[in-house]
Amino acid sequence: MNRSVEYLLRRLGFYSLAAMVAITLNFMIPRMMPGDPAQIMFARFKGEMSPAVITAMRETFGLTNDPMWQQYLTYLKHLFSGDLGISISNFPKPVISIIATGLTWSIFLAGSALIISFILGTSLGALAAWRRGGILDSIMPPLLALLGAFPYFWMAMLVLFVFGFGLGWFPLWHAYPDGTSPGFNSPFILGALYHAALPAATMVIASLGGWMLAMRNTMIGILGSDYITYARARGLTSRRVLIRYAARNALLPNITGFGMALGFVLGGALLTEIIFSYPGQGYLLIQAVRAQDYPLMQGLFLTITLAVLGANWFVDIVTLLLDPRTRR
Amino acid sequence: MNLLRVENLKVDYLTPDGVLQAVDNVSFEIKQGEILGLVGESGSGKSTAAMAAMRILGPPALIAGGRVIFKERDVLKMTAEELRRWHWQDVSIVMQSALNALNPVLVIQEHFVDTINAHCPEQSNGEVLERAAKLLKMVDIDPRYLKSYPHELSGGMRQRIVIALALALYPQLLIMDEPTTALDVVVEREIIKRVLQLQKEMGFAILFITHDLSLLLEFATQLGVLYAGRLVEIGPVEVFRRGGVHPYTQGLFQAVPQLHGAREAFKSIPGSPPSMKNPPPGCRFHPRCPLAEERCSKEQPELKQIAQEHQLACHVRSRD
Repeated sequence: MNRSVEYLLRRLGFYSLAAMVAITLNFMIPRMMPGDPAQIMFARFKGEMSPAVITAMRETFGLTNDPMWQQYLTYLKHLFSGDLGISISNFPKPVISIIATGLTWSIFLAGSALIISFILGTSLGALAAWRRGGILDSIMPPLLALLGAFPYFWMAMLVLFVFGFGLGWFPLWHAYPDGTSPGFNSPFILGALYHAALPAATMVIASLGGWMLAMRNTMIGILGSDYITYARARGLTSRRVLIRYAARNALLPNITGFGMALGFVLGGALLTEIIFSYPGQGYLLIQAVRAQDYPLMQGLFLTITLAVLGANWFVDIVTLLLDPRTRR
Repeated sequence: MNLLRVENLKVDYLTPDGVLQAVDNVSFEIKQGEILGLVGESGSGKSTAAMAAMRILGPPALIAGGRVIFKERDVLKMTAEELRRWHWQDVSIVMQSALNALNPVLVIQEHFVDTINAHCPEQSNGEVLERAAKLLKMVDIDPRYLKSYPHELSGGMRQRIVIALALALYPQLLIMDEPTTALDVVVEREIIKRVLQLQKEMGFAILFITHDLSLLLEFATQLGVLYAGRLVEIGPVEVFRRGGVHPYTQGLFQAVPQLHGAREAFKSIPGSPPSMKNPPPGCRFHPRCPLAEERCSKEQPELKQIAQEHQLACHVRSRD
């Protein structure tokens, strides 16, 4: 087990290095681009701003005339104390609080969609492989592949149009109903679930086929292996062979896929959130781009990068726990 | 008393190009405590016959005919649940690919626990582990390896563990399907020696499948020779120690270098085994047989009793 810990720490070291590179790039890129946030603000106020205000604003955004390395150190200091700067489009809200809200909604929406889709897809895939050539195996994969083949935005817009606009069964936008206040109260929680249902459903429909097919195919390979034949020959019950010998082993490659998808959840489901006007990370990103809100964009890119790295590390841990062959 | 009786067993493989008769009319019997060896080249149907007798063959293989009787129970008529219970309690197998027979993500102990729990759910965990440790000791493996994963063990150890696993429920019949083919000769000897000791102590019967005829001569009590899915000769091992009667059996002996006696030219059987998709008519061995007559290419020879317990399927030799 010590070796496993050592391995995890080594991976963590690697991911930290990657994170440092990302943080540094995040610092450099905006400084290499023409213009700066203060100028954008200046333009937005159509020149009705005195030069003194601009200097003050530049300082607020961390753009001083200090040498680069000093700016970098200040940037790092702020970063590690959780200060990602001030948003331009939502001036003077700090970026970190905007991202915190967006992240919460994204994790809630895309996270639950991912978990539902993963559990449902892998179970269906395992069953389809187990009863290979059966009804489930003949109908589901082509059907889901067909659904997955539609352009996602088109499918999502269609669903929104039919069930939201046409039939009026689901709300058209936002994450929770007007008149409720976020917190642990049932109108808010039920409202949030109600608002998330339709976008989450579209995400599940679009991704289910992938999970199912991946699981089905690895599982079919596993079912042909000798230890399955041998487990059956030993008189183990079918259920036990299915769960402990076949599905468990077939799940391993899919865990990696799950981890990667998890990383992207924290970046928000861009198209879903745009189409359903859902206030998650993806929606924030598009808003930030439209408003040329550099600090917000920077913050979002940084959280997405860190999330993907974190998810990778999480996958490393889970794989290590589930597959003894990776422990040395 | 007969433990296992296989009567006219036929196994077909359904392939895209048609039906392939892998096992054709094979019959044999195993008595309690006996060791029956089945020899044959690759593709002669020996493993298929054994796995069909145990009913663990999956598609595309299909048992097309015959009967398998285990102590007056008709194996081919058992329900899935009866079959599941019969497996391992009465008959167990050490498979050809025993090296891959263990689930790579479960420790050795779990394999024992799963197997014993599947048949004796009333046993407590402690009892099961105690039994597993005892079984490992039987095959000369330190019980501390119960906590190891298969990939942490050598091929020989894994093979011993699979044998211990096969004996977990004290079966009456142990099928060993080329159990030592993947191992080197020294390890092979040790393992076989141990299995034979255990066989004497516990009194189970063995159906031993191999392509190594000389190995079988050392310990088998009965021997059957398969060629292209058919039994060509079966009888007590003494018959084979004298070199056998069927031209194919004799050919097999000539292909084995002799350590003792006069040095003879090392002869292999000319030609190669027939395609099972399109086997030759008559005796399947006739295109390669030095004694073949016209009749051999037309008429299929049946297994005939030529001496006490000795059966032969050859037109020429059974006439002489």
